[in-house]
Amino acid sequence: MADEKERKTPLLDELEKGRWPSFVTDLKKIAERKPMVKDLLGQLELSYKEKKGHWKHGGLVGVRGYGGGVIGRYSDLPEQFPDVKMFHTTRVNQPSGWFYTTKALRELCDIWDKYGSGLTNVHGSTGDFVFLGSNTDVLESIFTDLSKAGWDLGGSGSDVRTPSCCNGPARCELACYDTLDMTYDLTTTYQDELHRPAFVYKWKFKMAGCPNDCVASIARSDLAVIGTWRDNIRIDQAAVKEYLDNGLDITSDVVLKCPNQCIRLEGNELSIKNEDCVKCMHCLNVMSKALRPGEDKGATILIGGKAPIMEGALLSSVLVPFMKMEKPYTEFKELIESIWEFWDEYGVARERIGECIQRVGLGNFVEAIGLEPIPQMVSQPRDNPYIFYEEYFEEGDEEE
Amino acid sequence: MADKVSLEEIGEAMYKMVEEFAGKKKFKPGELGKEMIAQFGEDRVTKKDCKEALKLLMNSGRLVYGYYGGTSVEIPHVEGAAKDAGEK
Repeated sequence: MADEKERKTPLLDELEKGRWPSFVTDLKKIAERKPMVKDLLGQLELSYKEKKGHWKHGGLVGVRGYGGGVIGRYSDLPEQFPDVKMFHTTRVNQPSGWFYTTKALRELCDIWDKYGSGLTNVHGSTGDFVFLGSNTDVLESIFTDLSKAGWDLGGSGSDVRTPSCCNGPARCELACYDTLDMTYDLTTTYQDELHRPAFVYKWKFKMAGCPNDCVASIARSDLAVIGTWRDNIRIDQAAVKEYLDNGLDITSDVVLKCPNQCIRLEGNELSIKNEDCVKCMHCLNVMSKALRPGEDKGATILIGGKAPIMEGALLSSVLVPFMKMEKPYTEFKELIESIWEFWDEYGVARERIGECIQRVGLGNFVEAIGLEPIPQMVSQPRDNPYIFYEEYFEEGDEEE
Repeated sequence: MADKVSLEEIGEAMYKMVEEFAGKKKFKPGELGKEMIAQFGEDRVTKKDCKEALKLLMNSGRLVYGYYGGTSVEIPHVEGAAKDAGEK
């Protein structure tokens, strides 16, 4: 029967044609040694034919004590596809910045080959190293083997999702704080919150080293930590001249593209009106040898980003324009915990913090967590602040 | 100052509540904590106590986490999809 299923995948076969690598080819290769993947191909073919998914997700699966890390998945056609009647996902907490040795990757793959389908998703959109497809009865064994090798499960459900970050100072000269260290620190500090769901819904941190925001934290996390600086962009005039000598059209490619027109080129000399800079990063990206972030570095904290599930997508708004990001990150942790306290008190079921803030009002939220409202609390640069400054109104103004 | 309630006592009250409402209401972990504070009084039970009590219950396997859109606290059982898949 399995051979018959293997042969009849005409719609999937179409995806093997053309110039690009095909996941169908990969699945077929793994199906030669994993019956689970044969049935996966069969069920997928049927889904393509019927234009209908055949997975159910959720349930009680997991490892003892943890509420996150395993996502239950079941086929709604268990009799037709018995080898994928259970096809659970396991999230493995990735290292900061997704740095692995080949030994570590082999270790993960060996564990997964031993117990599961052998299929991985590297990496899932949450950042985790994802194992796709296992039965319930091997979950504890997977977890035991992972733990022995020094790995842990990631987050899922109404908990802190596995924190993730950009490569940061490990590979990027623009990083304004150590994203890798901070991610590791938050992961270890909030182990309980990561493994034992206690919130009204999910909570995501993402750490970006500079305003390029390579992890798209502004759109993909409830709390985005984006590296920035508050002094002047450092300029190496000799390197500016070198760019000119090598034919870069600085006026056209940099000066005229500055969104706030704060760059000037006079002769071979570049100058920047830093108070007008909105940190768009264009000039630093184009002239990375000549321009560097300032020396007074830290991060901007933004809140409320999320993808479209439930109430629609939201972009984060600035909560704290500048915070120094240094070990042990006490100020940052105090801020998070006060936000969680508020969310726990006022959030309703399946309500992300961004939606909760929209419901109660940003001004009320800021007041409740004990932050002083300031004009830099904006949804985007050069925008109006969202705080209503009552003190600007004199007594009796409303009656006029 | 009122006597503190032990973690075991909080855990037992949590378990009873989940058991009593099984099939009628799915409690979120935070909701259970709030119920405990309401039941024993905030001078006797803190949020932290409730988290620790729930942790003990989860580690012992008496209660498990479930996920149906959001996370809930459940008594271990074989639910619909798992039953269809032949889990026991």
